Formats: sequence, C-alpha cells, structure tokens
Amino acid sequence: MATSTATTSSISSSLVDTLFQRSLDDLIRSLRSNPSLEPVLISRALAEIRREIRSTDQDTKSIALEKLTYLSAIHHVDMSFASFHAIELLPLTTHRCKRVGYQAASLSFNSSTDVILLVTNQIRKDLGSPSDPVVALALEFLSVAATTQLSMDLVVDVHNLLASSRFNVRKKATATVLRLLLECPDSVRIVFKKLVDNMECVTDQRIVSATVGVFCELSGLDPSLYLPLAPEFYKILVDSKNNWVLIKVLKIFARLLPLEPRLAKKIVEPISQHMRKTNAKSLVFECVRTVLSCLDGYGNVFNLALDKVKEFFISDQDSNLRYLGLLALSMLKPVYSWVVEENQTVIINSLDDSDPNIQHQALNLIMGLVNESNVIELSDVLVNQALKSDPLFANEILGALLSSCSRNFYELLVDFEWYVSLLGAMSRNPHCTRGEEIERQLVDIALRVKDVQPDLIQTARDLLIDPALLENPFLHRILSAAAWISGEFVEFSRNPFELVEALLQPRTNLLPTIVRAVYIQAVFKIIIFCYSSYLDKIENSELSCQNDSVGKDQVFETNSMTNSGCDDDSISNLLKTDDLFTYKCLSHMLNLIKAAVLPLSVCDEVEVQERARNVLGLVHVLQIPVPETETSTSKDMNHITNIVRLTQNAFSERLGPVPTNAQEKVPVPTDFELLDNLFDIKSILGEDDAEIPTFSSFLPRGWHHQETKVEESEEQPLESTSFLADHRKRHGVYYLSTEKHETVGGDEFPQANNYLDASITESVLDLTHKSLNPSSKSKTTKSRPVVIKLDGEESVLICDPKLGKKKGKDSLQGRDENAASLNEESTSVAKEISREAGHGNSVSRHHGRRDKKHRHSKHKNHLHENDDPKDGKHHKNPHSRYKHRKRDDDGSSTGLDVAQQSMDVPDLLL
Amino acid sequence: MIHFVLLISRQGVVRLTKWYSPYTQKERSKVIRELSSIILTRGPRLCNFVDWRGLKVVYKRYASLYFCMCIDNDDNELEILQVIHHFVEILDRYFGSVCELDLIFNFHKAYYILDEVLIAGELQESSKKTVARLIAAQDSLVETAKEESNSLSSIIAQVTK
Repeated sequence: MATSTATTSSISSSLVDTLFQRSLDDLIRSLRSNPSLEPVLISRALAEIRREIRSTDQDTKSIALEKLTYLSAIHHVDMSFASFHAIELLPLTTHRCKRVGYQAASLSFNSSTDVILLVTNQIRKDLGSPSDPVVALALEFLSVAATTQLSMDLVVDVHNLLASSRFNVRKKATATVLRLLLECPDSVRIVFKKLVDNMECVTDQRIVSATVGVFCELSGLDPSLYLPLAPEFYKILVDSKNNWVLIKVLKIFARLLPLEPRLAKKIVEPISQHMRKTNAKSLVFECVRTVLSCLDGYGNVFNLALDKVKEFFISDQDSNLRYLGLLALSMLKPVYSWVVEENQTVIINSLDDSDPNIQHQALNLIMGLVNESNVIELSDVLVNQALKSDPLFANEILGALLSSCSRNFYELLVDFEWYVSLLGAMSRNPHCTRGEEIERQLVDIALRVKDVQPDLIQTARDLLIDPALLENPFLHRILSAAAWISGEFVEFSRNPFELVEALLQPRTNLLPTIVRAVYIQAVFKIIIFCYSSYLDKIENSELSCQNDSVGKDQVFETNSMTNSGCDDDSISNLLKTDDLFTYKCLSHMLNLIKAAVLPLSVCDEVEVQERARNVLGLVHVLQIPVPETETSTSKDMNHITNIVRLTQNAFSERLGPVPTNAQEKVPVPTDFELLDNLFDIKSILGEDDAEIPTFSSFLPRGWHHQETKVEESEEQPLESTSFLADHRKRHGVYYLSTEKHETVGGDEFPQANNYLDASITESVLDLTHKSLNPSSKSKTTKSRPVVIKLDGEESVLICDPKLGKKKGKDSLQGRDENAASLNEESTSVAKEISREAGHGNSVSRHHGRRDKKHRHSKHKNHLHENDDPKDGKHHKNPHSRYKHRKRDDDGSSTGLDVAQQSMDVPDLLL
Repeated sequence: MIHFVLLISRQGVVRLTKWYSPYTQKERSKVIRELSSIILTRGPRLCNFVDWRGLKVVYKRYASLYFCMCIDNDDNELEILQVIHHFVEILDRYFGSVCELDLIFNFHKAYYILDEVLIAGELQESSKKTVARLIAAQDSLVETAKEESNSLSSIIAQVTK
C-alpha cells in the first residue's frame, strides 16, 4: 500500500515535471530578469534540476541536463553529480537527447570522473554508427575527455575510422587521434601508418591539414621520431597552398632542424618562395620565425626575413605586427645584436607605445643591447623614458637598468661618476619604488669604488637637501644610504654645514626611526670632521706664525665671542667666506644641532634616542664656555682636541669587512697574555657614565662597515681580551664552551661574520697584505676605477686603508681591528665627553648601572692608554651595537629602580 | 594547439568556455577570473596578444564580446586571430548578424558550431560553407526527432505506456 502510494506520487510528480518543466530559455530569462537574485535563482533552479533529472522521461531528463550544463558552463555550478545522468542519455536514439548527453559529458567529465568507465561500450557503438553526426559526437567527446583507459580501449576503433570513406568522419578521427596519443603514447604504433597515409591524401586537403596538425603537436614531444617523415613534410611545404598547413609544417621543420642540419639547405628555397609570394602575414611571420631561429646561416633568406621584419615595423598602424616584429628580433641569437642595433630607433620609439606588452618587448631588446660603449647613452634614454611612463613600466625600466648595470660587479661601467648621478636621477623619479636596490648599490659602490666617493657625496647631498624626497616612503632607504655616505665620506664634501642642515631639516620627521638614527649618526661624524678640520687649521696657523703669539689669542677671542651669544644668521651666510671652519660657523652649527636633536633625546625609539644623546653629549663637550685665563683655555682646548682627534681617528680610516674565519687562522703569539688582569682600572674610572656611540649603525646593509683608527697607541687587543675573560668569568653561563677558542683573542662572537666559507684559506696576514695593495687583487681595466672584489666572495670586499689621508697617518698595522674595539674606544670618548659635560641630561638615566658601566669604561679607557703597537686581530662585533641598544632600552624602560636587572639582562644578548 | 576558448562579455560575464586541455573546475574559474581582469582592462588599439603563465592568449573584441583563445608560446598568433575571425563569421552567418543575446539564448548551439570549427584544439574546417552545411544537417536531424516525438502516435504511445 505504502509503496503504491509512493509510486503514484513519483509518477504524478514526474508528469508535473514533464508538463510544467521550465525550458533552458525560461531559466536564462529568469536569470537575466533578476541579476541581483542570481544566487537564489541558481540554487532554486538546481533543486528543480536535481528532481527533474531523475525523471524517467527522456525529454525531461535531457532538458534538465541541458539546463545544468548551462549553469555549469556559465555560472561554474558543479555538475559532477549528474555524470551518470549524462551517461544515461548517450544510448538514446533521439539525436537531440544524445547530443545533450554528449555535450554535458564532454564539458564535465575529467580523469576523476569515476562513471567514465561506463561509457566505453556506448562510444564504441557510436563510433561504428552509420550516421555521421553520431560518430562526430563520439569523436568530439573523445577529443576533449578521453582518459588513458578510454584511449587504450578505443584507439583501435578510431584507427578504423582513419581510412573511412566518409571524409568528415575521417577528418575528425584524425584530429582525435592526437588526444588519444597524448593520453596513451604507446598506441602510436597502431595509428602511425594510417596517419602517414592520410598525410598523402590527395582527395581532401582537410585531412592533410588535420594530420599535419597532429604531427605538429607530436613533434613537439619527441622530434626525433618524426625525422624519417621529413620528405613527406617537404613535399607538403612545396606543394601545399593552404596557409594553415604550411604554418604547421614550418613548425615541424623548426623542430627537426636542430636534429638534422642538412634539412636547412633543402627548405631554404621553398621558405623564401613562400615569403616572397604570400600575402598572408601569419605565414610570413611563421617563415620569419623559422628563419631567424633556425636558418640564420643562410644569408639571402636571412636578409629577406629581416626585410620582412622591417616591413612589420613600417606598417605601424597595426600594433600586432609591431609586437610580432619585436618578438621576432628577440628570437635572434646574441650574435646578431647588430640587427637589433639597426632597428634601435624603432625599438626606442616602441618604449613610448601605449601597449604595455610592446613596451615590455622593447625594453627586453634594449637591455640586450647594452654594452660598455653605449650604456651611458641608452641608460639616459631609459631614465628619461621612465619619467614619462606609467608607474608600472617606469619601475620595470629602473629595475632592468639597475640589474644590468650592477651585473657582475658593475662590469659594464667605466664612468662611475656618471652612474652615481644616474642613481640619483633614478631616485628622483616620482614613481620610483626600487629604493632598496638603489640603496644597496649606493653603499656597495661607496665601498667598492674608492675613486667615486667624492661624487657619491655630491649625489648624497643633492638627495638629502631636497625636502620633497622625504615624502616618498619608497625613497627612505635611499636617503638612509645617502645619509650614511654623507657622514662616512664627509671629507670630500664641499660644505659639511650644508649637509648638517640637510640632515636635520624639519621634514626628517617623516622618516622612519631607523633611518633617522642613520641621519643622526651622520651628523655625529660630520661634527667630528668639522672640528678636526678646525683644529688642523689652528695648528697650521700656529705653525705658520710661530713667533706671532697673537694668532692663537685671536682664535680664542672669536671663541668666547661667539659662545656668549648666537645670532640668527644662517650657516650658509657665514660660509660665504672661503674659510669654512671658523669658530663662528662651528658654534652656529652646534646650536643648530642642539636645537634639532634635543627633542629626539626623549624619542621612544632607542636607536634614535641613543644616537641623539651621543650627539648631544658631544655638542655639550665642544661647547664648554672658554674661561678667561689663557692657561685654562689651552687646557680645555687640549681636552677638546684630544676628544676630537680620538673620535676622528675612529671614523677616518676605513677598512672593508674581513673574512670571519680569518681570525681563527691567526696563530696566537706566544707572548700574548690573555688572562692578564686590568691593573690601572682605578685610574680610569670616572664619575659619570655616558652613552656609547655605536659605529656599525648601518646594519640593514647586511655587512658591517668596519672603521678603524690608525694610532697604534690606541688599540689594545690584549686588554679587550682580558676584559672578555673577566666578563666570561662572571657570566660564564651565557658563553658557549670554547676550549680551544679560548686562546684566540676576540673570538667571543663566533657567529659574527660567519658568511664566509672556508675557501678563504690565506692567513690573515696575507689578507692584510692584499688589503694594503688593492691593485694586486682587483681587476683594473683601462681608465676604469678599481672595483674591489674578493676572489671567492661576492659579499665581502677588502678596502685598502686610506694611506694618503691628509693627516698622514699611514702607519696602519692592524688591518682587521674590529669594530668592537672601536666601539669601546668611542665609548671611552663618549665617557670622557660626558665626564666633561658633568651632569648632563644624557647621563642621568644610567646611574642605576653605574658600576657595570664603569667596568666597561675601565677597559676601554685602558685601550688607548696602552702603547703596545702589536697587531690586534679581532672579530668585528656586530652585537656590540645591539648590546648598547639593549642597555639603553633597560635604562629607559625600567627607569631608576632596578640596578640588579640591568646588570644581568644585557648579557643575555651576548 | 589551442588550450581553451573563452567568450567573455565586456562586463566580465562568461558566455562560452571550451577546454581542450585538462583543467579542473577550480582551475577553470581561476583562469577565467585572471584572464578577464587582464584582457578587459586593456584599452582599444593595443595588440591582441597577452603573455600569460608561459602561454599566450590571443583575443579579439567583437562588439561587446571578447573572443579569447589560449595557445602555446610558439604557436602562430596571427593564425589564431584568423581562427577567431573565422568562428565569428560562421556564427554571424548562422544567426544572421550575431549579437551577444543570440549566444546567450542559443548557448548550446554556439557550442555545436564551435565543435564543427575546432576539434582537439586544432582548426578542423576552414570552409564556412561546409560548417554551415554540417550544422544545418544536425539541426534538421534534431527537428525530425522533435516532430516525431510530438507526433500523435508518439503521444498515444506515451499515454498507453
């Protein structure tokens, strides 16, 4: 009873479905009338389809499937649930239903459709059908949805059709074979002969066309299999009038030529015939492509092809042809760059094209042209082009230029002066987003190419001084590099005061803090440079007028005058005179710095704060009021001189990075007393603490720039080692066990520069020698400046110390003195500064950790009081900066309370 | 070979898709999204070729419809442009100055026509006349079947079943 009711209801619902079923048209109309309700309508229609598709009535079922196919194709509805229903429609005799079934199947079936196994027999039956449309349906289905299994099962049936007298069926079967062969490559043995026969079919060109299409695809997989068919292909190439076929045959030859070069001689003539005769651009282009890529040895046809390319360019109305012309040129081997050069004007004009694809092709071609002789000319064109282009392409140009010019240690470049100014010009491009790369190259060049440093500082100055550039966040990295350069190479600057002004301009508050830190550090270096120049001047004048005691007095008169009150003149006004380093200027500069940096000393960011306080501490020392009596004046003056000289020494001499593992290769001298304790610590201990200026402030660069000082009296590896030993004794828990390293001075941070591999096996002494004689190491080409590079390493370089510095300090001995010792020196400098400064702002917050800091200062001060001239080999200590930073952090965050904590925490970072 | 054929309206609505290389349903929607954003944003009078994922897409706009075909990098772009034009001419001949609406409401017919023009990603018929004849033959076959099923005898047969 219950079953009969169910049956009745299913019959009646099926009847209702049949009578009131919405057709595909209805569905499309309803979807179009209410686009906003589309998702609702689709899900409603889907529910309807799911019901209808189960109907026993074939029309209802096929209409439902047709609707589902529509939804799947247009609205990406998943129709995998209906796979079986599609198969149900295939055996029907009604062509319409069968067609709907096949269409649904070919749109939705893929290798993961499990029911596809059920269709094999039905398809076999349809392939044998006497009705052409039915066979066509089966073949079309196979051509898009054949799986490996289906191909294996049905390849024989399709093979039988290859000789069919019904040409339409034969044509489709030929084309379908491709899919079967792709799925099941082994079956090629079965069909090969008939395919070859079909290629020679004279009655119907369409069959030849289909066969050549199949061979064209197959030859892409394994050309060598089809080499024996070359005579047949040649015959088609000569005889065929059909452009489609000719294009395919040319493609096949392009694949066969590398295997059989003798073919080239044969096909040159027919190809040039086709190029001359045909009007079809597609065939001409195919000939050009074949000739330029495979037949470049044949002058006549090669020139003919080039003429055709030029024709493409001349017909400038058609951007397709222009694009293809450029594409054809880019297929040429590098040997034929003269061809590209010939068309240079067209290519450069194409950079202006409205089509980004054409621009891109043109840029690629131009970058392929760049060589030593034309790099300047082309780069200028490109940079100008980048100014005119849209942001995307502008950056593409800049990126291409940057990578080309820097390739293989700037091998293309001779004129670095020009390149540095080009980098400046690129930075000024309003679309420029390549700041990171430009930054890297600026610093890289600064370190590698000594001769260009004066130009670098000019470029850096131009960048820094422009307030508009500060707005663009992409340029901040470049400005950071410029700031570093301005501090590092300030001695080449025409006007250091201008740099200071630029570095402290109000809009620098737009910079990220990490860049500001670099700015402030640069200011620090510039102050030191200015003062040292000033002191040099005094010394010189003292020397020149030795018997005239007035000279010295005059200086100090100015001194006291300007110190008492400062006017509002801008520094640049003061600089009208030739004499740059007057006390007035300096003092004015200090005031400016003080005003600008003071707010930063309470900055939240430790990097900025720390450096700001360094600068303020220095300013404080340098600005001490000059007492009346001459004796005390000279005493103060001496003091300032000492500080300035000391810091100057720390900054002035430059060395490149040293291989990290170099340290381990140094034999420990026998008279090296590592455990020697500090004996004069008390004498050095000051009352106050101060900031420790850091040197390796340019960390993001990936290497640490090493600075060193020259006076051997100041360097003291022995003491820093014993300091380490002392520290290790107290905080042994934070050290790795270092049995054998124990003996090596300064290896306390073995990870510091570990990027060097063991391939550098020369001893450090050897390296020292090399660094002192750069010419022995670096490649010098003609007038090209020396670009320094290490043999094995790309990221490491050895700079020669500047022997000819104006102070004549050429007695460089410890070439790889480390930054740690420098840091310690500068620490001591800063300490002295702050001691002089008395109870300055900068020191107050360190009271809590005074005793620890004193211990540091003890060692550090000791460093330059010892006169041991021994070569000190140290590892550079990148952590020192971090250590300081951390210390600062503690100071500012924990405030006054925890002396204990601040004792311990920083050491964690070691 | 042609990997797939796409017809996209200017608004980015898909009108026809045919895949000659295996793509999963997910990949298909992704391809359509990517390509329509690339192609629809290209201005007029630019070249008709787009490099895309190591392949090349040749497209041409007819009225409000973009006909796109994706081919291998070393295939002939101009040839494919001709194929597209060939297909459009056949559609035009069949529908009598074809418009987007024709393709919307006769979406399955557009597929049948495409199946007569291309097979397995290759052009199979370069004669417009032949394609028209084949389509007409199929249509008449369907019509006969329809008439038969609507004939009185078949209705009676259904009722008495």
